[in-house]
Amino acid sequence: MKQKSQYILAQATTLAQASACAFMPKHKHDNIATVVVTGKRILLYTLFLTVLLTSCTEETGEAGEEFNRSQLLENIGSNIIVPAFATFSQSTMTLLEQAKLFAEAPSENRLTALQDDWKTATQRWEQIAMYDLGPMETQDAMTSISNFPTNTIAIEEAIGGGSEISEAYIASLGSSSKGLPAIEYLLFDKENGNEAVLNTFASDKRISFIVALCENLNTIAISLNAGWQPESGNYLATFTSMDGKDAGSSVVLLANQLIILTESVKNKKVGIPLGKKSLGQMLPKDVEAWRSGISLALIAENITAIDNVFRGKSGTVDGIGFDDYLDQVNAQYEGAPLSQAIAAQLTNISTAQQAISLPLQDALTAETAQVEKLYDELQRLVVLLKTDMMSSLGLLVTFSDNDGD
Amino acid sequence: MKHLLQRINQPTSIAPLIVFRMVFGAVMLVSMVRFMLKGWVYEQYIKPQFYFPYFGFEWIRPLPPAAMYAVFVLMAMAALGIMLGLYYRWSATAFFLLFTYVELIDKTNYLNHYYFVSLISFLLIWVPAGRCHAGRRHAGRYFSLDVWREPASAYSQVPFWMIGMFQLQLGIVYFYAGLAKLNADWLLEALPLKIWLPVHTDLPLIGPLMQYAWVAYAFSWFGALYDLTVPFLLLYRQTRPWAYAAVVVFHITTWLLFPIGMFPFIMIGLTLIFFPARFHESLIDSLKRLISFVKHTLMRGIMVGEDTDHGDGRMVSVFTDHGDSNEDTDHGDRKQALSPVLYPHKPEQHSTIPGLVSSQTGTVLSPVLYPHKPKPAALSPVLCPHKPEKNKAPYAHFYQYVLALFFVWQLLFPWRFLLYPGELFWTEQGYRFSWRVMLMEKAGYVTFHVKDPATGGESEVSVSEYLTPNQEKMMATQPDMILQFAHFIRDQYRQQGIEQPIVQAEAYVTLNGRGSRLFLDPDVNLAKMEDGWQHKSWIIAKQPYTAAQAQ
Repeated sequence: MKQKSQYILAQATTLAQASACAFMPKHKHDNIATVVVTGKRILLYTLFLTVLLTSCTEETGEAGEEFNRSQLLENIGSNIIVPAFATFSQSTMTLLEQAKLFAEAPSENRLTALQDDWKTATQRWEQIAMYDLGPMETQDAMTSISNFPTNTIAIEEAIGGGSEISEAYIASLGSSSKGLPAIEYLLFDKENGNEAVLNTFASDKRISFIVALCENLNTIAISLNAGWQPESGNYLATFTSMDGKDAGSSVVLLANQLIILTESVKNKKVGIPLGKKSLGQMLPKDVEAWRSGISLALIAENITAIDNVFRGKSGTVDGIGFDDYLDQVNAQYEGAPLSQAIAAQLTNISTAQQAISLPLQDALTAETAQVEKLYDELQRLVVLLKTDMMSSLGLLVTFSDNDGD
Repeated sequence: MKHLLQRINQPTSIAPLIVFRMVFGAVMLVSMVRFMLKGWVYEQYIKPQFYFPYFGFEWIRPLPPAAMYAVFVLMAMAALGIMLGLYYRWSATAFFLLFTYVELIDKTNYLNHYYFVSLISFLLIWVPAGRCHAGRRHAGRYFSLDVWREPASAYSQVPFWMIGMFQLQLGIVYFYAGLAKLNADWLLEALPLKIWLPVHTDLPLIGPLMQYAWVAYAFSWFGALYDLTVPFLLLYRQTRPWAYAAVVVFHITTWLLFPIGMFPFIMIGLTLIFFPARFHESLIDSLKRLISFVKHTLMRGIMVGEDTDHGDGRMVSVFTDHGDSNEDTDHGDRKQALSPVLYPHKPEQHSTIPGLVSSQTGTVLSPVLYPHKPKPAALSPVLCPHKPEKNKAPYAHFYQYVLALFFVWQLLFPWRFLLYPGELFWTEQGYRFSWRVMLMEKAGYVTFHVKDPATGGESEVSVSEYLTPNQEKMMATQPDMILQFAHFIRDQYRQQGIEQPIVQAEAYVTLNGRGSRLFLDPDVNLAKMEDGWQHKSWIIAKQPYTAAQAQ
C-alpha cells in the first residue's frame, strides 16, 4: 500500500510538472498538436485522480455510518412480509377445511366456526393488503382476494346459472363476485341472523359454491406465499436486492404501497361511506365487511400493518424501518424528528378509530363526528407520508427524466 | 458598434458547426429512441385523460396514439437528418416544430433541458450547418450528405455569429442556472443537496463522503461557482481545457447522482462549440479516419485479396472522399497535403484567398474549389447579411432581428419572477423557462373539494382517477396546474348537471425538507379564478421558518 502511494506521488509530481509546461503559452497560436496533447493530459489527470481516490478509500477502510437500504428491506421482507403471507395462507387453508366440514353437514356450530375462520382470514389479509408488489402484482391477485362492495346479483346469478360449480369456474368469474367479500355475503345475514343463512344452504349448489370460493382463495394464497418464500419463488431475494434509489427500487415501491394503503383506508374504507364522493350522501352499504360488522377491526389491522412497516417492527422486535431511515437523514417536522411526527399520527389514528364504538356502517350516522375525526387523522397521515416522508427519503421518485425541482 | 458588427460577421471556419450539428443530431436521435423504448410516448402522451397545456397554448392537443408515435419516429428521423446533414434545413425545422409541439402538450413534462433542446433546434434552422465542407486542411472533403448531393452549395466559412450564438445560448443556460443558485437555501443551508446526497452513500469511491454536510456545501458552492464561471472560462484558450474538464466532471457527477436523463450528454457534447475551429477540424479528421478505417476493414472482409482502393459504393464513401476526388481517403490525404496551392498551410491565408472568400459574407463559393459545378450557387440570404446594399432584400436583415429579439427575450424572461410577490420557490410564479435546474426538493398533496351550492352537498375528487401518478405529483406543487385541474373538475361537474360547482383545493406542500404546510387558501373557489400572468393571490405566503424548523 505504502509503495503504491509513493509511486502515485511520484507520478503526480511528474504529471504536474509536465502539464504545467503544457499549459504554458509557448506559442501565440496553439496548434492541433497542443490541443491533442492537452486532451491527453486531461485524460491522464482524470486517471490519476481516480487512482488517488481509490487508494484513499482503500486506506480509510470501510464506509462510514451510511444508511443501508438493504438492511431495511431485509428486515421488512424477512421478518414482516414473508411471515404475513405464510399466516394468511395458513388461515385460508383452515377456512377451506372448515368450509368442507360445513359442506358435509351444515349446522349452526359449523357455520359459526366457518364465520370465525373467515374473520381470521380477512384480518390476516388486511396485514398483507399493502404488498401489492412482486407476486401479488404479477398475479394480479389483489382484487381477486378482496374487491368490495361485492356484487350480490352477480353471485346469485353465478350460483343459479347452469354452469357446474368448480374452482375453475370461480377463477373465471369477475373479481366482484369472489374472494373474501363474496364469502362474507354467503356466510352473514346482518338482519335475519344465522338461521336464515343456514336456510340458504339448503341448496347444494350454494354449498358447492362456497367451497369453491374458499378453494380459489386458498389457491391464490398458497401461490402468493410460494412466490415470496425463499425455498420457492423467492421474491424476497429480488425484493432485498432491489436496494437502489430509482422509481423501481423496493424502498420506493414499498413507500408507495404504504401511501396507497393509507389512501385506500382514508378514501375507500372511510371516505366513500361518509359520502366524500357522493356530495355528502352517506353510503353504509359501501362499508367494507358491513355484514359481519368487523370493518373497524379490519381498519385497525391495516393501521397496524402500516405501523409495523414504518417502524420495521415484527412482534415486539423494533427493527430497521422507515423511521430509522428518516432519523438517519435527520428529517425534521415542525422542529422535531419527522419519524416522531408520523409515529404520533399513527397513534392519533388508532385513538380516533377506537373512539368509534359502533360498527362503522352504524357509526356513520350515529357517531358522525368520530368518523369524520378518523377521516381527518387519516388525511393528516397521508400528507405526512406523501409529502414529508417521500421528500425526506431524498430518492427523487420520478416517472421519467427530471431536472425541475 | 461597428467593431462589434465586424466581429460577429467575421468569416470563420464552419467546422465547429459541423461537430455541433452532428453531436446534437446524434444525442437527439438517441434521446428519441430512448424515449420510445422506455414507453414514455404512451405514458406521457397517450395514457393521460387530461393534459396541462401552457397558458396561451391551450389549443395544442395531443394527436391520436398512432400519430403520436409517428411524431416521435419523425423526430428521430429529423435528428438523423441533422446528424448526417441530410435535407438539413428541413430536418432542423421539422425537429424544432415537432419537438416544441410535443413539449407544449403538457406542462407535467416540462424540463429545462427540453426547453434547451427546443431553443437549440430553433437556432439550428438559421445556420447552414448542413452545407459545409470540412475546411482548410481538407477542403473538398465534405461531411454532410447535402453537400454530397449538391457539392456547389457548400461553404467552408460562416460569419462568426453563427457559432457565437450557440456559445451565447450555452452561456445563458449556465450563467442563469448559476444565478438561480444564489439563494439562501442553496448557499447557506446546502439545501436540497443535503437531502439528496446522503442517499448516495452506496456509490463507489465517493459514496461514503455523501453523508457529510460539508460535502453538500462543497457541491452547492462548487455548482454555483461552476455555473457562473464556466461560460467565460470556456472562452479563453488558457482556461478552456480546464473548464471543459470541469464540464465533463460536473455533468457526469449529476448524471450519477440524479435521474436527469440525457441532459449531461447534451451539455458535454454541445459545449465543444467553445473550442477553436482547429480542434473541430482535427476531430472531424479523426472521425473520417475512423470511418475510412471501418470501411476498409469491412471491404477487406468482403473482397478478399482485392485492393482496397476504388470500387467502394458511393454511399459508403460519402464521409470520406467525396468532392473533387474519387479516390480513397488515404490517398486523398496524401494528395491533398501535396497541393500547397489550393491548401496553403498558413492559416491567415486561408480566409483571404482572393476570389474564394468574401470577408464580408464569409462565404466560400469558388468554382475553383468545386470543379464539378462551375456555376456559383446562388448566395443564400442567410449567409450574406451584409451583401452590398443594392442586393439587400427586405428580409435580408429579418433573421438577424429575429435572433436579436430571441436573445433579448431570453435574457429578460427569467427575471419576470421579480414582478410577483412572494417567494419564487414556494409560489413558482415565473419559475419555468429560467434555467432553474435541480434547485429544490418539493413535494405536495392536494385534495379537491367540490360543493354544490344548490344542495350544500360536498364531495372529494379522486385525483388519481383522472391523472397519471406523474401528473399528480407535478401538479401538487404548482399552483397554475392545480388551477387548471380545478377548472377541469368544474367542467366535469357541470356536465353532471351541477351548474355552479364550487371547487376548493386543500393543498399541502413541503419545500426543502421543511414540514408540510397549507399551500393554497382552502376557501377560495378556484372554479371562479382565472389563469393568466397576474399574481395568484390565493397562494398562501410562505411564513418564515424558525431556526429549529430550518435544520
